[in-house]
Amino acid sequence: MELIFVSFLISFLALDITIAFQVLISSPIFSGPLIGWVLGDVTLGFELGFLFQLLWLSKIPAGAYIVPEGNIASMIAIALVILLKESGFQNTSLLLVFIEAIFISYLGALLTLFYRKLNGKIFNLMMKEVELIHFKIMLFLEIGSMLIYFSAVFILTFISLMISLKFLPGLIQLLGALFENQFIIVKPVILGIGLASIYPILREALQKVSGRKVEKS
Amino acid sequence: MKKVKVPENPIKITKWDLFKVFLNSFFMQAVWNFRSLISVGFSICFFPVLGKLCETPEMKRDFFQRHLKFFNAHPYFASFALGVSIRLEEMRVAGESGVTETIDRLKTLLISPLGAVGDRLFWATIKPAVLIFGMVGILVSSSVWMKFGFIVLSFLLYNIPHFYYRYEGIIEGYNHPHDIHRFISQQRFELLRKFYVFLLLFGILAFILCYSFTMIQSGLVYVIFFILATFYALMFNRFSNNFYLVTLGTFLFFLLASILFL
Repeated sequence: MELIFVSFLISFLALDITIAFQVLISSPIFSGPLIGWVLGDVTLGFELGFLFQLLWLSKIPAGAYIVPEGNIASMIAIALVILLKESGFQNTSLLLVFIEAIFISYLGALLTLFYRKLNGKIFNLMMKEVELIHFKIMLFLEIGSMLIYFSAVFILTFISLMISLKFLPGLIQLLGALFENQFIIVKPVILGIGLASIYPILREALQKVSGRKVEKS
Repeated sequence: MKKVKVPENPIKITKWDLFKVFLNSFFMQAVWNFRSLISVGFSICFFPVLGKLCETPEMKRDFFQRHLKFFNAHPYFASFALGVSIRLEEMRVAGESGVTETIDRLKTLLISPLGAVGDRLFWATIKPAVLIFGMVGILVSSSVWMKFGFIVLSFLLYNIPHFYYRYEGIIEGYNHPHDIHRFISQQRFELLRKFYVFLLLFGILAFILCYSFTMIQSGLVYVIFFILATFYALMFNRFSNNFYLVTLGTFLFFLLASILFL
């Protein structure tokens, strides 16, 4: 029941990425504490939101550009780390979840691509209905499109959580017993990668401050 | 900038109607597709004023066929085009000639500036600045309530300009359909952008200093791996733009290093 509820919450928050609202609540620093609160550990939710935020920051979903679905991946990862915290090997748990999150961000990008292609078909249907002077159906198609995305993210989240909770605990125990102390570097390395990934944003900001040309189409 | 005088129109669009359009605009990218981009969400925004702009079902059909054509813009800044379209459609209802062509032409002309200004202001400046500010807030706060306070502040720092331009764009587009370009010039947003650029720089600097300080207290090994991972990923980024390759490549390299050397 808890998994269904968390998957429902993540799917709802995922609508904020591009489809509805766009008020940033899907970003890790906002969604992390929310998921943490639902799963009973707000502090860890804050910490994980902080950890995952930088990674996807420079991926701008402008125009038709499809970026790694970092927000969905982060939300699933945050839920997983909290659900797996009883394993006793926090660093190993974070390590495996992080690798899985990168894979999920790729699946999320594919999902967005398929969803946009499907929307092309919905658009064609809409044009036909407009020609037939059926306007109310436009609203139904719009809501239907959002529900399809919601359902797709729900399925992705639920399956990811189910599979991970089945297989990761064993792997965590195995790797954790061997390398937990070595894996203390997981958090600084994730943040280091994140910091490097925002370098283009920093460079542009510095150029703006120094007054150099920054115009981009 | 004077407001456009519209010929007498028996049905007037009210501010309440425009507010309902504003609420609909939160679903601007709902049916984003590769053929018409945001045109579906854009067209559906007109539903609250549709009855006032089109009297017969045939007029509604023509209306939607006009607006379902290819259109793209930054989702917040598309509201300027919404306001312009509503006012021009209102002029058409009032009997002004040649308005249909003007709508098509203006919308096409607005695609580039609305996208460029919005992307640069929100995606490239305000969003990273606010999120890094929120991160620093989480890092420096000792209690959950303080962290929560910083998160709320970050949310407001982002959404106050977001809501303002989303709504104001409709109003300004509606009031100034023919000289809307004056309202969407880069210069207009320069002061706001500068504020967020400084917030971004302050945020990055504060993040590096605070996080380094926290790590030094935990142990030198954290600092070393943090610095090395940053530079390694930076170098990797110069050779490949593939996010997955750079991220996983760097991560696995340092895992191996930690197993070998720690």
